[in-house]
Amino acid sequence: MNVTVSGLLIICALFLLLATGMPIAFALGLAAFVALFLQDGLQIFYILGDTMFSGIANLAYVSIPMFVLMGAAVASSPAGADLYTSLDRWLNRVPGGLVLSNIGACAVFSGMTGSSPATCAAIGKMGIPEMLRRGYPNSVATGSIAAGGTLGILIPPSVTLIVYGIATETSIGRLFMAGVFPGIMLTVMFMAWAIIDCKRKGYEFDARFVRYTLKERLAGLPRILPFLLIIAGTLYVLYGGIATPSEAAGAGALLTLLVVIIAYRLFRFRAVSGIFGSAMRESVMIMMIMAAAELFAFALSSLFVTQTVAAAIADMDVNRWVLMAVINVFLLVCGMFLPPVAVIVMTAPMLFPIITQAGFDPYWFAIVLTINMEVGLITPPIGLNLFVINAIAPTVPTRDILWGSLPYVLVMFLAILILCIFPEIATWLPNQMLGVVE
Amino acid sequence: QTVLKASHQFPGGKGDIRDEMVQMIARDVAAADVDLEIQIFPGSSLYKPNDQWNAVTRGLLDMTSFPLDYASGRHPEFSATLMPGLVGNFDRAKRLNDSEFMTDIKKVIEDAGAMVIADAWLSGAFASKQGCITSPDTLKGQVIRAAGPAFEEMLVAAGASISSMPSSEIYTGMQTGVLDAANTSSASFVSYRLFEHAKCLTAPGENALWFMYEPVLVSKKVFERLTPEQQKAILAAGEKAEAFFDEEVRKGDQLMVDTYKKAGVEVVEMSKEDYDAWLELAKQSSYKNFAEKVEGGDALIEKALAVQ
Amino acid sequence: MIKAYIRWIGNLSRLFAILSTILIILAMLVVCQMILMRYVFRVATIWQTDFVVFSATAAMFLGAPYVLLKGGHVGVDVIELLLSDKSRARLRLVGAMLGLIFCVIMLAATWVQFHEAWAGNWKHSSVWAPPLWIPLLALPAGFAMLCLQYVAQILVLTTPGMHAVVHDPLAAVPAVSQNQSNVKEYPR
Ligand code: NA
Ligand code: NA
Repeated sequence: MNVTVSGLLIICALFLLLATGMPIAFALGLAAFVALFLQDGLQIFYILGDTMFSGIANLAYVSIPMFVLMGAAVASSPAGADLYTSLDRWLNRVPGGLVLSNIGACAVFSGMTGSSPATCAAIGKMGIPEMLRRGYPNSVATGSIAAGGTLGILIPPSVTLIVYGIATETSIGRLFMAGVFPGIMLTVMFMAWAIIDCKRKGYEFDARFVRYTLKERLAGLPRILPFLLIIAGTLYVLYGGIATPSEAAGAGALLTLLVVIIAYRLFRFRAVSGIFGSAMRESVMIMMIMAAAELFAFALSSLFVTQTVAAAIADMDVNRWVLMAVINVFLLVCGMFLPPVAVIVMTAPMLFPIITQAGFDPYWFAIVLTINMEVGLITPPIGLNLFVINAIAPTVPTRDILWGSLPYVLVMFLAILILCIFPEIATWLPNQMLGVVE
Repeated sequence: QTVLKASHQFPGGKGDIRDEMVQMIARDVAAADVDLEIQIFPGSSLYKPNDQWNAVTRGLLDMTSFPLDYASGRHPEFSATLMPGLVGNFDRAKRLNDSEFMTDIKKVIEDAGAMVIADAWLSGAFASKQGCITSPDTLKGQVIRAAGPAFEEMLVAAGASISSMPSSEIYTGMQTGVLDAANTSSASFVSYRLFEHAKCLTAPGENALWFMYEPVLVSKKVFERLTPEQQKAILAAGEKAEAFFDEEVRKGDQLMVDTYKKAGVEVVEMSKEDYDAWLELAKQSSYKNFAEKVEGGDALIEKALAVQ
Repeated sequence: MIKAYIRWIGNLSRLFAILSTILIILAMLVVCQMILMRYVFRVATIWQTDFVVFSATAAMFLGAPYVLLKGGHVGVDVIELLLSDKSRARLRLVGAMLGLIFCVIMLAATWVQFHEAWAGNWKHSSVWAPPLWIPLLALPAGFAMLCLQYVAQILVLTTPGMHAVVHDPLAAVPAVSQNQSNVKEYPR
């Protein structure tokens, strides 16, 4: 079979399967199976299991359920609400203050979990009802949470950076560091947009709604303490010569659980089992998609589709920035249809040689790729954050969520542009802390 | 035209000798004009490193440059190909290839469904942030990332702690202090720039502890389906690649030594006494475990040690 | 009869989920133990890495049936939203059938893999060298349970009036927001 034909066939098969609404993981797997079966026949039964199993049986990937567990511990306990209210007491006088609290809470929470849907769910379940209650329009309330939630994979720890690190054999500790300043930058940019938007449209609800005295504001601070403790503790384990990133995740998860259980006296079985239950569900969802994406990537590579596309991109005799733009558009399209982990598993090994060949820093590119994937989280047809918002706020029409998130997508594009102009935003911290690597 | 798939885990087109070996074979086979094309899938872009064995012995994968020890879970004899102190230096590695020891190993490979078309013994080194790793007691109390289970057994016996991590994390590990020392191939020592954090490098030299067998394998099922001309072309290309490897791998060691010296890292080699001390330790740990685990394991080790 | 099957399969999936959760907790605890041993006591750690990797990986396959039960494996719902109730039900049935086909294929493939590891006494190539069939058992077990769970779903979809009794298998909500209020129920 011709490479182009087989490539198109497998992609079409995938789309048809996805259209039925079946789980993405199984659609990826079935499309891959059909392609492999047509190529190699019954023989492939011998390697399907190997490919899925060794696709995820990796010490670094163990950190994914651990970083998800960290988030679940905070999200499924009163800790999330505390974080949110403490921030609100300080920001409520600013125009659109509640939006800022939401985005800020998302950013802080991102430091404790590797997953974007988890961030979205944790902050959204308090944030969205509260904003709607104070009279914010649907689009503002849901859009800011959908976008703020995407910070979960940019601000370390991050599931996508772990997957990228494994796929490209780059250092995960270094990748995490590269995400810090871009994460802060994007948070500030989101907030700036929120202020502009709220000023422009005159949403001044917050100030009229509630007033807090300085005493009340200070009283809220100790409640943020556990979070700072968790983040500081995890960072210390990670960069203090205690453990590798994969191991630090386990320590972070245990630390978070202990802090949350002790601080909020969650000594009942039900409360703790809820934390583990939701962590298990999300981890399984992510890892099944990854395992199946490995199978799909294997099929694409086996049919020589990956190599053909990579060669086509590499052979485009263009300026490296045009190349970067092409790659970003390509990723954007992939990100619209597939979750970030699947996109990275399938494209990172293929793009990595092209990127480094063109003289781009692989750590910088990881951050650009991650922001690009963040866009995918809030674009239809498959946007994990959109699904979460849909579940939290069933009364808000999807159209409103999309309209609300659109400006943030543009902000993300702007962030990618800024990173292209000033790559140091990503590379400075890791170079400073871990030394320059070629 | 027959198209064969060749897979390996090493970076493609970046000068890694194992990749160059496979590329050479592909070029030579194409030049032989026997209607045979070899598609190379470098950098684990098709199979994961460990999955290559199953695929090549089943005939799903046609060719691979494969660290044989990865399959030691299925054929425990293969542990002997990543066994401390069994090789020593490149000249001895060459003699080992024609020994009874390797005949036994290759028999296991063939029975499983693959065949060796090019031998390759890769050398490796030690580096530490603390001081020079020479005799076993210089490693006591250090956290080290070792390459290979048999090595881990010996290093533990020497009083070291083992940390397992992918080689891409070694740099950060040494930088942050998670690791005191590392043991890996010479090529990795250069490409991962460990000289920025190492205080002392123990280069392979005349008494090298670490050698790993990474032959180019061809699936027997696939090979038997080829025409005699095609078979001949593959074998000839393999032989040429083997000679190329033998020459280049020595240059690689020199490059590592030069790079580390230039970076101001102390470079030492193990003396015969150091080497013998390690060998004694290995006999009590890795060799002993191997003999217990593998039927005829002690005989296999003896055959290897008997080579001059 | 059908009702009983659906309930039993649901409970079995829950049992797998508990096992999966325990494995995740064990992985977390062992990671911490490993860090403690190595960096506080400077002792060699032999079995921990393998244990953590295999228990976490096995947990993912064992947890998958429960996540299916809870509708936690995300999929595209755009097409569904455009359809009438009747066509939507039909599309869901097609999706469930295709999902079942994939799980049956993987059950066969992972059984072959497990059986070879078992018969050949394959070990993981590491110092600890645990037998590979133990972690690999999680794959056929998980996919077998997924098949049974899919059959339950198909029964719910094809038996009139069934989803009024057991709506659980089709709660189409992402895993992360499962335990929150306002869970949408089928049919919407
Ligand atoms: Na994060
Ligand atoms: Na999307």
